[in-house]
Amino acid sequence: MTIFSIMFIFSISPEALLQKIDNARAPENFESIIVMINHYPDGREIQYRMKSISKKDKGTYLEFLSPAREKGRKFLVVGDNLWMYVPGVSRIIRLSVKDNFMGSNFTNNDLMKSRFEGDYSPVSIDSTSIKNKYILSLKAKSSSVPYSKIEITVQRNEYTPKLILYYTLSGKLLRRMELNSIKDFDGYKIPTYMKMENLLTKNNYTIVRLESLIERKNIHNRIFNPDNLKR
Amino acid sequence: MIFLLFSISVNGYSAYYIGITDSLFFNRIEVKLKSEVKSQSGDFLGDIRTGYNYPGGTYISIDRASFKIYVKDFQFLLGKDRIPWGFGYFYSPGDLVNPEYSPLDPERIEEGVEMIDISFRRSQSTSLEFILLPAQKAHRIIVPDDIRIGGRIYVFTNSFESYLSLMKKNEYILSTGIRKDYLGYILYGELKSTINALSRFSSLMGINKTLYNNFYVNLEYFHNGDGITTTEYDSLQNIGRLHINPGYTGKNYLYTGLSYSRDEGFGYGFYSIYSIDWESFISVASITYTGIKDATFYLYGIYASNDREFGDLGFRKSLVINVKFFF
Repeated sequence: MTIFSIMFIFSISPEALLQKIDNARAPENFESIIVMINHYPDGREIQYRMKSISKKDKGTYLEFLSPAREKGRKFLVVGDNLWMYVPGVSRIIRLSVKDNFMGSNFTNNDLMKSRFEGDYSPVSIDSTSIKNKYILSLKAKSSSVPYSKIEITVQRNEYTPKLILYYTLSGKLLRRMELNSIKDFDGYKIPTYMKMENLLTKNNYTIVRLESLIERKNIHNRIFNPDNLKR
Repeated sequence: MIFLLFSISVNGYSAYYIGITDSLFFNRIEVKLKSEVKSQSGDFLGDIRTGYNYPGGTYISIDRASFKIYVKDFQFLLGKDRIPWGFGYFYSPGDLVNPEYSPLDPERIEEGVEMIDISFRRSQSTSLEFILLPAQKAHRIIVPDDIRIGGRIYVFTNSFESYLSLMKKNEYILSTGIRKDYLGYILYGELKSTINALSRFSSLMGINKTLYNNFYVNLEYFHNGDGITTTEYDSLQNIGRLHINPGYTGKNYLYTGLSYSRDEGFGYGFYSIYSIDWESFISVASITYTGIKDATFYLYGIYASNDREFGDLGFRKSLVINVKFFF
């Protein structure tokens, strides 16, 4: 390692590192297919397959493809606002982003937002505790988000998160997410396996697998209009 | 090649219901097919239900059959579809398009409304909509509608949602609504008024909240400007103008919806409508089980009070078992 690269490592600011992490997580505008599997302490598991469309500064739209019972259920997140369309009752119901997503260990915010910068401010970088890794600490910008503090561990020079720790307001570690199986999608190196553990309940975790992801340049803004969910 | 860029999907359910209302047994077999053809420039959506009721016989209902075309920021819709115009869950006086939700006839919310609808959505914050509704079939609504024409503007800004709607049928009707997430509590309100010398106001205030991730609570207070008092009802009864529309006859109502649900296993629900000035209520308690893949089991118990309005329904108690297999 040259002196120059050492200087670079120690000169990166928390803001710059957060931007690199956000950019490495997903393209600014994309469409993806994800599979979410909820594992419960009693051994039960249930699987959902969903289509997700996301556009920077606009929001994230999510539609259930399976199981058959849930097909057609839609979610939309815009900023700190969440809506759900339930086809059986033809109603657009507004919910809170803080709540858990469909019984999983992800909150609505975790699953439907691919960038941290909107909700969290970078505070500090720990570059010495783990060799060749950064630990970036974030704090919540407002009380409307589910966690008060987040710690992200990334490989130096790669910026793809390997581990994310989520803390409550009292500083208690609430959830732990591992990210693995990095694959190349349209030039983006993105983890395709995410395991979110609920640390308050033993053997309770949720796995999300990314089946496909394509960068989409032209996503119409109407997709992120809450009134459009009824279409 | 561009014509090949579409997707087709078919899904639905088959269902069996068996129940008892006071001392009368009934059962029903039903199949619902939902088809979608989607493309970048247009969609077709079709929902059809058919089944056999005992007593009653066979039935068929085309709940939705609509063609949509997208041209730039415009969406043109022709056919039968469901497009909610209000924010309310059970009561929604601001929804000038759809029939009122009935506590005893859930199919009324399954079935769409025939329409020509043009909507304009350029941004994520504003929608403009114009609609033409031909006279709807009388069996779906309590009072048959004439042709209606109207418009609606929806605005979402700084976490506030609001809308303003105007509809012309025999008279002009104006409605407005607002909805906001306040610290995880979803608050909403609606107001509807006829525009004439004898303006009749209806209003709704509602709140919903998810507690501990699985409990969902929904409360609504509905003031029905078209409702009557028990004294007025007695006068009408004396001159032979009897007409009870359960849940919409009185002036003031309270809707309570409580549910506990998980993505798999048992779920529980309790729903109630209380007619405040008539002192009458109807309650539904439900147990659902979703532990078997693609199947849902339901057990409903319905109880109507002995007082007027819900007491005039013709039954007090009902128990229904329903199983649905989704495909």
